[in-house]
Amino acid sequence: MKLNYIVNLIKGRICVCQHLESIEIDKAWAADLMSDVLASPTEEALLITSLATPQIVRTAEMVGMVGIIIVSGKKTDDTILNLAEELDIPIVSTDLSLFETCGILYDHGLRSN
Amino acid sequence: MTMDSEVTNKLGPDILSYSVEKVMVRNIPQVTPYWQMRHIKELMRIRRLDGVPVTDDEGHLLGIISISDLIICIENKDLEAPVSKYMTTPVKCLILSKTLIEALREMNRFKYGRLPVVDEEFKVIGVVYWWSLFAFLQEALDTSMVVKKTIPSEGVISYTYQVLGRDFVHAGNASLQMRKSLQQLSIDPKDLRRTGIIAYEAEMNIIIHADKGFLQVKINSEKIEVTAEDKGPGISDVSLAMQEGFTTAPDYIREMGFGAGMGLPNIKRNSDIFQIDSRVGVGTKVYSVVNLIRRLK
Repeated sequence: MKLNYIVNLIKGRICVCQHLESIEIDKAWAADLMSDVLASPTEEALLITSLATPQIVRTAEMVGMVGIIIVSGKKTDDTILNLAEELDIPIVSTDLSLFETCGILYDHGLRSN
Repeated sequence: MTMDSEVTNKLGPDILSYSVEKVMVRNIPQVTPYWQMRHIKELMRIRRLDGVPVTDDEGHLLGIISISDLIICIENKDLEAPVSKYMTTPVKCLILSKTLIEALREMNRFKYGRLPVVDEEFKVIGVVYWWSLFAFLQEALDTSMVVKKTIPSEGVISYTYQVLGRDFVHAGNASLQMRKSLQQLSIDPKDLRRTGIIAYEAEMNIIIHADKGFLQVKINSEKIEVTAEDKGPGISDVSLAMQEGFTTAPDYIREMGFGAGMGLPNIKRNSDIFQIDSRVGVGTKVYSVVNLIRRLK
């Protein structure tokens, strides 16, 4: 599933990304705790979170996540966006809740592993 | 034993060639010459600024009003006067294309506390303050000190990163830099991921619990060793700390998504060898080994 298709599904806004249509997503992981992200069994997954902090970007990079969806319309400030740009990690923001976002993506075939 | 030691940090040759954009403060209110001085006094007080540029209605730079101009105005009991009466003009400024070192030179040469930054149309886009420069340099010195050592006779490369307690703004930086260094060696992505998780969790533990510490990674052809050592409170019951979900992190740290009590168990899970040594009131040392899937040449 292409990332731009996901953006449409969840009515997302693209905050950081250069090449949305070239990013293929086949796994996703949702967590609000950094440790849960670090304990995720999946590599090259899409991270869905309601945390909007620079650490979430660093954590995603450390475990090799391919993109981040920030849910519940949380504000993303310049520090997060600059860091994501530097590390080349796309960030998408949506007003949908964590539950709804995961539900929609699961419904469309995305799994954790 | 021959040893090459190399200290690299953000204060390398690159940093001073950064654009002034990196250190300038944006969102400075647009002050025009017909503002009253009393409004300037309030603006400076509330925003804690010691000087603001004065522009025309289109934002072109006309002058600057500093705390010393304001003092003269207050001495004259003239707070109703317009800014145009007290502003300093003409004013030195920086073009956006100027570098950090040029800004430093200008400010030091003329003893300016602040310099407006303008675009090619002479419109103000920000201000470089001495304190914004200072903060940037201090941060660069503090957070990214990396010491790289190579011991060719033993085939070992090591990197050491300084980690400061409670520095949540830069939390994860040391591990990220470590990951970048490891990426240059041809390490299997699975090993890279495991090492990254160990380093990140260990770094977070230092930031959450200790005053300061360091993160060290040693690489040879067969394994990666990660050592995280801190000066901190130590752990009174290590076996309890090793239980998943046990945490002593305060609430504000948990709100940031940290301190879930998964750190040490997660480090152990990703390590082939795991050792922890902690003394109350002294500090904690965590040692992990990741055996490489693919031997390095």
